[in-house]
Amino acid sequence: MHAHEELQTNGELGDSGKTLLIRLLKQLVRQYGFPPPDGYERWTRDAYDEALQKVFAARQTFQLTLFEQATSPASFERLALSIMHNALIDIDRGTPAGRMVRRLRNVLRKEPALEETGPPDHPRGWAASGGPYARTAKTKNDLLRAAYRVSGSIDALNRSGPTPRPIRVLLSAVGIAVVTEAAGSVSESDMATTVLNRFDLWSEPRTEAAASSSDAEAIEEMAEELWVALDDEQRSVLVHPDTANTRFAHIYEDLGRREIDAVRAELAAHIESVAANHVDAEALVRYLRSSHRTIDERVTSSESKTSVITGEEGTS
Amino acid sequence: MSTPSERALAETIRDVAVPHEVVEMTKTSIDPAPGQIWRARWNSRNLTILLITIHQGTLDCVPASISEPPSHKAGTRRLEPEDTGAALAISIWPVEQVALPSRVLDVAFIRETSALIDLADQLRVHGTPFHLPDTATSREAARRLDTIEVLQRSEWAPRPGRPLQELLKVHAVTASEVGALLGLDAASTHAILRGNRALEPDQMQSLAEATDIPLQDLQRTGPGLPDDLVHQLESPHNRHLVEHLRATQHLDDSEARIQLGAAAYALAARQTGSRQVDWRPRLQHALESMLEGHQQ
Repeated sequence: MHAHEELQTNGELGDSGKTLLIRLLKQLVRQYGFPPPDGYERWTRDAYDEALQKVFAARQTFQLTLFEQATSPASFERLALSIMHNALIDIDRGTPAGRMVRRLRNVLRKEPALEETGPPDHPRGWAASGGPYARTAKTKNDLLRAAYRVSGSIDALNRSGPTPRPIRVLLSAVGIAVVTEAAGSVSESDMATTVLNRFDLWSEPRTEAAASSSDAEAIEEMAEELWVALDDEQRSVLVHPDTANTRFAHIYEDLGRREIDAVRAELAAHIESVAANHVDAEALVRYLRSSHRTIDERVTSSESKTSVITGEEGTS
Repeated sequence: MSTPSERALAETIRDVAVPHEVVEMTKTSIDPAPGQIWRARWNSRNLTILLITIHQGTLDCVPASISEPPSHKAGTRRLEPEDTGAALAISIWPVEQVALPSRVLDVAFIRETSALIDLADQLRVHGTPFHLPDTATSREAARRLDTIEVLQRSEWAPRPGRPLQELLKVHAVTASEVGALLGLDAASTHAILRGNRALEPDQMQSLAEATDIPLQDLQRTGPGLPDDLVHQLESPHNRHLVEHLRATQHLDDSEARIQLGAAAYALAARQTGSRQVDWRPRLQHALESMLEGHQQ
């Protein structure tokens, strides 16, 4: 019995529903690179269960909305994906660790001495370029001590816009020190919590800092951060009409004319506020339109080959 | 044996289960009446509505929702269960009072209570005509208005249909060719051509296969379906039959009604030779025959 029929018949999701939602959640994790919940180093079955619970907590009418609006198995899956995606965006943006994971992805990817690891071969995280890649046996305290060996301080992080150059340099230095101490790979969440602890950024004092010196760099960083935070309808409107060979063509066709206008207005306001005084909003939009496929590929985890996950990420 | 996280998830899901009376309501066939909460649907678009007035073939309503979280959004009015006697909180958009064709009614969620009937009365008396604006203040409002537009424009049965004679002329097919193809005498052929008699579904199929006339065009010819059959095809009581055909044959709402109607009409003509028939069992029978024929 499909989850849709299960919900219509019983008024609550059972085994089929839970299995389907976990599958959709895995799809979202692969597509958008969401980190596992706090306390989980990787996406295990328990991590998925907990993430799904957080979705239900963040969207208390989730099940009721599916009951009210889903009229077929296909529409059930589309609606569930959309609601879960928006919930995960909110959850991810809502935690200091989630925000730091995203920031470090942008910053450390540009550091030649570091390499981003990921499924199917390794859990998602950071290692020294060329390896070793085995998960470190060092403790979190070991990693934090290594981070403290890098001098410097971060008094506040910019509220919006790209990471300023001096902070990028410092974060890269800490990243290198941590993986060197690790003599192996470090998970994304461990790297993020190490940085947060090193610079005492849990309460996240914020400032309106200046943009980085390179506008192109700033645009690239902001573009990815912006893209990840958009839902599929917003993306389809942003990149239209260049939707050939993408899933966005179908999404755009399903939107009514008023909704397209409303999404367009919403996007314009959002992009303006993100660009603010840092970069030119039109340049940001142009970059997104020309590079959305590349950004999509970069954001999507390489584990797209892995389709059956029974216990832990990457296993079958 | 389930893990603690699996059990916690199961408990979370159970805590937000849909109330039993709402689930049971969706399985019940009722006559639409003011104060009820229904889902209206046409193809992929749907909208929950509060019924205000039922007319012949149309209804007045306002958009509603049984899953909208509490908010202070402008234009939204929230009705708690203690206000209405319903099992769930209901949100409505009382300014957006619109007329919809009855054919879009899909399933009922909440039966009328005295409080909801009173509310429908108030909205009827004090409501002013709402003209769909071209823009909306939010994405949710835009989606609602776009969906209302789709529902208002839902159409499926040209009544009466286009005369077959016209269609044959366009495709350069002669009356004698039709007669020969379908094994009909001259009188029967001319009755069909003039629109006095409908083509049966298998005749339409044969004609479509032998000529370049699209089957959909042939389905729209003839005297059209009787009013009482159209009424049954548009009734929420028979929506489940249309839905079943839609889902199994991957049709849209319009096509499913046209095909089911044509099949029921042909069946009735064969079986009784009369249009005075009880269409509800005929529709069920027609659906079964169509699905059986599709499987063979």
